[in-house]
Amino acid sequence: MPETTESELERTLGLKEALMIGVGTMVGAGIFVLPGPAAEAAGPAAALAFVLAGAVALLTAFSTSELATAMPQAGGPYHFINSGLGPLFGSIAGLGNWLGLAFATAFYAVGFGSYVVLLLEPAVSVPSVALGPLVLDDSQVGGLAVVVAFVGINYLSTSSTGSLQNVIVLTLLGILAAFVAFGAFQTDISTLRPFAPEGVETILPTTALVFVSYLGFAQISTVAGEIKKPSRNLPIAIVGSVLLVTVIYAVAMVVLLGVVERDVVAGDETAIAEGAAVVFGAVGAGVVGVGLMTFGGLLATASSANASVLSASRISYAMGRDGLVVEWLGAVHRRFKTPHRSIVLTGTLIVVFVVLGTVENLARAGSVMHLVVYGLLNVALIVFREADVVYNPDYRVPLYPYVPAAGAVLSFALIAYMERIEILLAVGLVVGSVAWYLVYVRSRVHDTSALAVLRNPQAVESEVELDDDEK
Amino acid sequence: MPKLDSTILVPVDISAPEEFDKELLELFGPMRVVLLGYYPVPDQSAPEQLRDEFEEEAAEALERLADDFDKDTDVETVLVFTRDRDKTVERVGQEHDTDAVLTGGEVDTVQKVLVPIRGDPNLDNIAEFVGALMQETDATVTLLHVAGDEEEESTGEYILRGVSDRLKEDGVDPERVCWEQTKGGSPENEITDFAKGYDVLVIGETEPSLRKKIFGDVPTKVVRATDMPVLIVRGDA
Repeated sequence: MPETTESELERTLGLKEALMIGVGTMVGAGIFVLPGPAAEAAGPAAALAFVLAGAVALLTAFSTSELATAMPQAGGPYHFINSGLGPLFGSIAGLGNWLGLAFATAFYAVGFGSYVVLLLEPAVSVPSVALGPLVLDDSQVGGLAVVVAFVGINYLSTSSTGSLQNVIVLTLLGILAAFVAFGAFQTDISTLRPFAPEGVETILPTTALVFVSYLGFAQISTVAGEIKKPSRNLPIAIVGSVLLVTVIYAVAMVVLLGVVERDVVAGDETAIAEGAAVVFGAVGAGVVGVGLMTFGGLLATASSANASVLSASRISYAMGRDGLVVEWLGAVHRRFKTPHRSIVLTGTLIVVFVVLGTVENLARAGSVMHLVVYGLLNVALIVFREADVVYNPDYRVPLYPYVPAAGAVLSFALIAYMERIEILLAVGLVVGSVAWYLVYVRSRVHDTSALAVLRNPQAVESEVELDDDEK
Repeated sequence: MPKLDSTILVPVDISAPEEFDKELLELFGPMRVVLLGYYPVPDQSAPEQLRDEFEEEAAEALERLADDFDKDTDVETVLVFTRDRDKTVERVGQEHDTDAVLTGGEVDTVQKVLVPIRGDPNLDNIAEFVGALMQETDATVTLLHVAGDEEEESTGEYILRGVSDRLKEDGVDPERVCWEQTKGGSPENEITDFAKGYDVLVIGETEPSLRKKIFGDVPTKVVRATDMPVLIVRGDA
């Protein structure tokens, strides 16, 4: 008879699945919602803004790869920062990551709403709704509908949606490839001039706006423990997905502004569908083009929204495990096995953000929260390398310490190019997290992070021994 | 004599464990059984979290199920938290070198075993496994071949003779072995119809990868269509 049963965790994700998680989360927002607002802000130079944002993300992607191979545990960026820099920065990272994903989800949801409006436009008009002093426009109504639907679905649990995700991502890449391939021959260089009609100083603020398009790569690190051959597949998937979407965004942006006048699409959240009407119209299939892009836009924003609801809800487990929030919050539902309380709380926040926000400030809010987290993540990597702690990543960033140092500096620096309200939001995040740390976390959690070791090796060692004795 | 050290993989959903049928367990006699408790993890939760919360409970449930097996049966337990049952079944099956996988279904008595057969390279494995299974019970076995046309029908007869001779060589009483042929229709429908009069189905997987089969080859469709226990004999990986 068996004596004790050891349990295993199945590694179910190969390189392709890992890449799809990254690309699937990213490809939605970037190219289906932001080209219009980005073109309005910076003109054809928006393509350069996409490349710059991709470059900043790429630096953090290298660092994320190293940290993920060193500690492939649930929690992703939050977990790296908490174990590297301790519970104070862990609080900022956890809250920042969570709120950032909630903002990003709200942004995707409103983008989804815009495509619903585009789809129904000639036949039915989605009503605007007045809630007391608040008026919801039609795309917000569509956005709320999709948020409520996804919160419900995720509360009840889903399984093995990975293969569906693959189909979605490949469909989107196919639609974009067709757009670029047809469009490339029709691009009129003259509409790309002047390159920066609003001045070169608009490029960095636009970079800050579109940074939200690159949030998916870190999602791969949250499932690091489920990936086969992580030392090889994690870096390829994380870095590869950023490179891939950067190229797609930049090329699609150039083609879009090469085929339509900037004024036509400026500020339009479904600009790429306008572009498709022109591109496919040239071969007599304009309606097909718009149809394809509308379908793509709905699919892309919905899959990004769903992926972000999922990740946001999982953070509460990791934070609860480390004592930064009550474990009750992240505990799973007895029957559905989902972190239901966390899902409902996250969903409620997203609803509030959809009601209060606009596409552009939701995008920037999602970006700013993640930039704080990504900056800290790069710092955490440096601390791990320098402190005398057990740290054995299978993958190491190139050009240490320059890559993580540049990643930290540029992530923080990009925050300066946000609008005032988002900068205040970042400050609010830090202040709020510090307050939470002082009120709740400090008395409950021993700081045994790499940073604590770096500052005072003996103190941490003796505390760890004490912990062991208590058990 | 056939080898008696055949290994059967028995996957159970350990988040909602159901007791086994005693009759079915007797069938395994002195075979080796790998009892795989898989705990399904939804997309919303981290596998580590479910392990944290449910490991103890799941391990206890698994050990209780293991105790239900016949005393002669050598049971090994494996507990896996997984997002993908099929991948886990395939991996554990390979790692523990199992010969067959048992899938769901209820049974009252094990008297009649049906073995649908095709002319595939897996034939040897199936014959050997059925031979071993027959040592443990006094059940009768019916070999079945479904032909598409006349020509296949005569190949089918040749194959069926071969397998039943093989079973006799393995020491199975010829009285307990018979074979049937049908023609036309889709194999899965024919097999499912035929299976209604039987207690247990033994079926060969067509390719080494069990997971690929989940999306719709004959064994998979049969498994879906019946509510009886099916033993899927693995191919040579």
